[in-house]
Amino acid sequence: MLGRVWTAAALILLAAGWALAAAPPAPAPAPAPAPAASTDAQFFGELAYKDVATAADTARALTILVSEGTENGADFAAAKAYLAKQGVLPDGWLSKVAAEEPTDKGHLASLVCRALKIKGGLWMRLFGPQPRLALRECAYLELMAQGCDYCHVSGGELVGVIDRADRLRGRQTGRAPPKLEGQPSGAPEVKP
Amino acid sequence: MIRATLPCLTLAAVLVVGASFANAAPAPAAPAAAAPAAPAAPAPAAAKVTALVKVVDGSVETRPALGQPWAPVQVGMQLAEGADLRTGFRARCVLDMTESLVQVGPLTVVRIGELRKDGDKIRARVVMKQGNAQAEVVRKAVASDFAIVTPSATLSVRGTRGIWCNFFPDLGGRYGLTRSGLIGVTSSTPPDNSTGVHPGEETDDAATLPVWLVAMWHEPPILDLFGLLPEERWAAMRWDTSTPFPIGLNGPNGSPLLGVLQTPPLHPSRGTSPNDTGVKGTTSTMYEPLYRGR
Repeated sequence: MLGRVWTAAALILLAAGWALAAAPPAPAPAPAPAPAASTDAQFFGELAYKDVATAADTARALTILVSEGTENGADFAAAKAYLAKQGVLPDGWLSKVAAEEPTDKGHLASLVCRALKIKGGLWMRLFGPQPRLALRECAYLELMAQGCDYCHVSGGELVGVIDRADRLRGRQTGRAPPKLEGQPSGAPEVKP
Repeated sequence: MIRATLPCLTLAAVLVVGASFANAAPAPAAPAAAAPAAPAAPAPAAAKVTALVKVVDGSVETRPALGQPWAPVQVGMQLAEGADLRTGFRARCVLDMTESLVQVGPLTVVRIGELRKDGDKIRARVVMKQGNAQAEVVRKAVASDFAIVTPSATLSVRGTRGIWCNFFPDLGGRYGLTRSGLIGVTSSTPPDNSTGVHPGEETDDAATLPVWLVAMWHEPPILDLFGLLPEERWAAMRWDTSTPFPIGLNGPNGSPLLGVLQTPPLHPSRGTSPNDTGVKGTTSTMYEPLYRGR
């Protein structure tokens, strides 16, 4: 009697194993879609909450600034290639660092001076936009706040520098910011 | 002995079980007199209104509340109180808030902090984490209740129509007028300065007198340890070097002296108390997540 029970159990287990083996394999999981490149609103909005801006953030922000918004710059290598093509980083700091390296004020100022083609004063014209000189020049132009050139740049500060740099370029090229026109819906009617 | 003890124990057990059932039974209904008094009629709540999106240029996104997903903004959308907005490079968005027209400029993160009808006026608070904003306010009454709130200052309307503000962390803020009038800028930092700004003038986060601000920009620095302004004192003590001092010894600008003489931070985003948002003229702590994180 006991032998029959064991035999039946073994048969049931064998049948179950055969059924599992014969079952069609589960479909392979579909490849995850590539993450869509974030919009510049998302990029700058999230950058504002970062304590320290990385080199990748700086490269992307400068790419957007130099290209006047036409380039996204989400890919670090592509952003560096674009900036190199535009002459912003000839043998500079950004071409050597890793994407996660923090950005410091001096090198950011140097990149901004190159991006906006700021000539600077006597020493900067002689020696080029070295970090210390470039930071002084950017502070003079009110693009950046004064400070040490080795201090890290926060995300919010980087966004502010991009904003001020674009405003400065707008003043140089005569591009006026859009004016606020119109009346709110609750405005009283103008009597003739 | 056992015969006498057993009934007692049985009786005690029955009593214990009975008592536990009595405790588990629902409490008797309280008499009407002991019932809590009905809540008083609620005060008429301020009616909430929405902001109508009139213009969208570039990349502009919104979310209805904290934690919600961001979505692109389209013309004609209605944004309620608590909605966040963020704009991209050279983007802008114009909101119609019934009694005010607000243009959210590029690279901005703002929240419609308050937008509700309170009596015959609309109370509006645009809370800005950073960026640019401009507003046109209808002057219907003497007291208009519109303000732009940044982490370090509050721009209130005092009989003017057009105000603008520009604020970024670590860079500070600039506030001014687009038309004639007068605005009040109240600093969140002690000693709670407040100043008026006339057309063509601007002030900063500390609500510095505009003429004083112009003097700071255009006057040469005075190398004087006893200068009037921090910048004047710092000019003499600045340690301009690329070599960082050891941690703990360096001050804000790399100078070992500035760590000792450091003045209160220029742009603190919060007050001293955990519940103090550091924002004046606000009645809610809903601004805090906007300043602190996503």
